[in-house]
Amino acid sequence: MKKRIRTALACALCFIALFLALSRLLMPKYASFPFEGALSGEYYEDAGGNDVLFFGDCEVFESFSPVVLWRQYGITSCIRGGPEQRLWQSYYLLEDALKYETPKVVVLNVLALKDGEAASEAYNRMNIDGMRLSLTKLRCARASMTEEESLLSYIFPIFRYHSRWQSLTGDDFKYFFGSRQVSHNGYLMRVDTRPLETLPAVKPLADYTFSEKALEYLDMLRELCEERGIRLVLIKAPSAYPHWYDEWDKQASDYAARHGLTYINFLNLGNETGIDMSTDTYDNGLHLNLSGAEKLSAWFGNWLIEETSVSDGRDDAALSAAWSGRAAFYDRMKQDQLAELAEYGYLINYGGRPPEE
Amino acid sequence: MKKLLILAAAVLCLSACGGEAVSASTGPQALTDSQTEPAPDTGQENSTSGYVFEYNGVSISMGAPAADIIAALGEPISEFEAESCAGQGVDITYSYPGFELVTYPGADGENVLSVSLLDDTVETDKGIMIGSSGSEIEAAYGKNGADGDLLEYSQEDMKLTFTLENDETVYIEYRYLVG
Repeated sequence: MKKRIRTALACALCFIALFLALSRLLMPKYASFPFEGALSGEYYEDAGGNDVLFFGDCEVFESFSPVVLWRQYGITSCIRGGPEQRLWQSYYLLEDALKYETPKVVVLNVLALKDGEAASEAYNRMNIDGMRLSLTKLRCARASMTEEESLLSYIFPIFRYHSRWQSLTGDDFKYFFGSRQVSHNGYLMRVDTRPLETLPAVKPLADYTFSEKALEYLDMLRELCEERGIRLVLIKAPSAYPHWYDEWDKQASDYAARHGLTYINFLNLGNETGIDMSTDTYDNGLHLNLSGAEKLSAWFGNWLIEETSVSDGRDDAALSAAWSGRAAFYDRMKQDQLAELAEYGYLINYGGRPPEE
Repeated sequence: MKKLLILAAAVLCLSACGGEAVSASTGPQALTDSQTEPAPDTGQENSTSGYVFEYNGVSISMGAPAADIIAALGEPISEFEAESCAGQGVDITYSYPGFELVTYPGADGENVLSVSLLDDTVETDKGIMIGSSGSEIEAAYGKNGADGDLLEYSQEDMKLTFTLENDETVYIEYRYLVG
């Protein structure tokens, strides 16, 4: 009898081990382009002790450099952004982050206030898959899922990715035990430049009202910050496209005024920040490149020091040691990208496109 | 041991079965499986059905391959590339007098995603242009039944939308419903 129990237990353990191993193998690793799917999971490497946390879509993780905030002002920060991150995802990612740290300032980009639905399953996956399993993650998935998705697949990703066995790459084996770091405290670096030359016509909308669902989660996020004594700052990154309508700007501004929040629209601060879309963007004004992100971070770091309770942490030896390593990685990647740019004319390994395309 | 082998086989079968958890057209399959830029799987990339916009004798169908259309339209005033986050594709906006044509990446090149009419130098095949009233639109395209400033008409896999302000059309868009 005992032997049969032992055998059954051994079988169960082997099954679980195999199940977990296959799940890990089949999950996308995002070690090569697109890197954005790695961001939500990479946060846990940088969690703890950050005074500033950023949330929002690509306009956030391409616009601020935590290494510059540290180097110039001694500000500890991390970006918990994701591609097409919706407000409900920002809320649950904040709820998740608060299990690891309580920042002094939370910065939220407001572009997603216009969106009431998920962009697609792809973006849901890239924002949620990397979260550690918890009720927060499940709530986030439930709030985000498109009709085709199942909650079970967010608990057991193998149910979603089982067919990847046909397209496994070397990265899936190479990063089976550990991921490749792709960001700098959530910042995705791009050193190349593709200047903004023209923009499509601004299309009138039938309804400029922000999404009810997004506003509901903004309220929840604001209340969560209030409960934890965190200052919430709303921003609009200086991306030139998609167009940020005056009607949207007024709603964001009114919301901030109604709740005593600061709202900074960087589109109106070009002279102060020095952002120039002929040199500071890698994709025609949609996202900032390294030059743009460093300019914006230099201005915003100064604002954070002057206007919030965030302080200079460079006297702390432990912090300095930790950030020294991050800064070195940042410099190495910058050099690597510049070398690629010089050799190939574009960022062949970092998501760039040949200039002629 | 026999049971262990059966269990292992079951797990392997689960992981190896070829069925898709969700449609490939939602993007993540291509994105997360191969981590390459996915092409929206419309399944009807050569579709020429639905409302058609005509300009200088060139018929523009939503969802149709764009190369020949763009060549026939001649040099655009400008081009704008909007690369979506995480390699989900590049939409290109071609500006022409009075309208803009936007393409999305299909399996074999660009396909027409939308056409936007921006001023009264161009019109729909039923004579509706910027400045037309709501009643003129309904006379041409039928009763819409919608209240407010948005009149939408669907045909096949595309949508024709009229945006009004004070009962005056300010924007017209033909859009292919990708995926």
